[in-house]
Amino acid sequence: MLNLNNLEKKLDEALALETKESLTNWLKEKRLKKYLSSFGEGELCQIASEQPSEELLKVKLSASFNFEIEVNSFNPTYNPKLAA
Amino acid sequence: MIRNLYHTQESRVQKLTEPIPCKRDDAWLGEGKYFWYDLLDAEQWGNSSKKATGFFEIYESEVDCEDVLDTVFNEEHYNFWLKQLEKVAMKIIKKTNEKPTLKELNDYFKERGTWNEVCGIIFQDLPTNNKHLLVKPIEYKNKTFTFAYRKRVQMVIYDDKIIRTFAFLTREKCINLN
Repeated sequence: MLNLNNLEKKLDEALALETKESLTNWLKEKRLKKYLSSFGEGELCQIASEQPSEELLKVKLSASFNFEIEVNSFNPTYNPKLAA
Repeated sequence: MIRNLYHTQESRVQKLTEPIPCKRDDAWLGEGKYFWYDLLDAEQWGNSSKKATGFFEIYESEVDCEDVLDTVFNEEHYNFWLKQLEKVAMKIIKKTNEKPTLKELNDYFKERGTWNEVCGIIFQDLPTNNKHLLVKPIEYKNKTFTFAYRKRVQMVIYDDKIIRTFAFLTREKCINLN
């Protein structure tokens, strides 16, 4: 049978030792672990960045050109109030 | 005291020889092996949450509840649990300005309070599906209020030693509850 007095005693002793720092770190660690577990199993690693190929660059330029035209038609600088 | 409890899982090619621990983050009382007190709830859980293969299985166990914190049927245990839960929650809120989740509180009991002798916890929430309730909802000012008189009782087991038996009970096709 569970000894409730003993359980409470152990818990009170643990709580008495807690500081703002110890509890904050404990909670942070728990939540970080929960967040990382949402990525699934494995380890996080850094992936080396690569230079885009010439073809990709051309597509990008073309896309940004089209985009610029669209943006210009709604450019806030045409509106004196918004430009301020 | 020995209780007969029910464990629900998706139906797979091989039958289980032991319950599967729940590691989901939203598991009420943390990582452990979850059982239903009522067969009806075990079936509903299969239909609502164990649908991946189209069939679910229910296993029946005899569980020794001697070293279990029984917050549903034991008044002393309930009052004790409530007091400890709120005590730890208050401390965490006061020190960190953050409300803990139920799982975090339970983790605290086990990790910091070193409650290793607690082999499991019996707890309850309210049924989410009111279809099986036999009391008509109350209608008042154009609103309907359902009285969920039936407790949905579960048990989480942390220590396998209290599981006396584990046997296949039934395999059922999942049906839509709505």
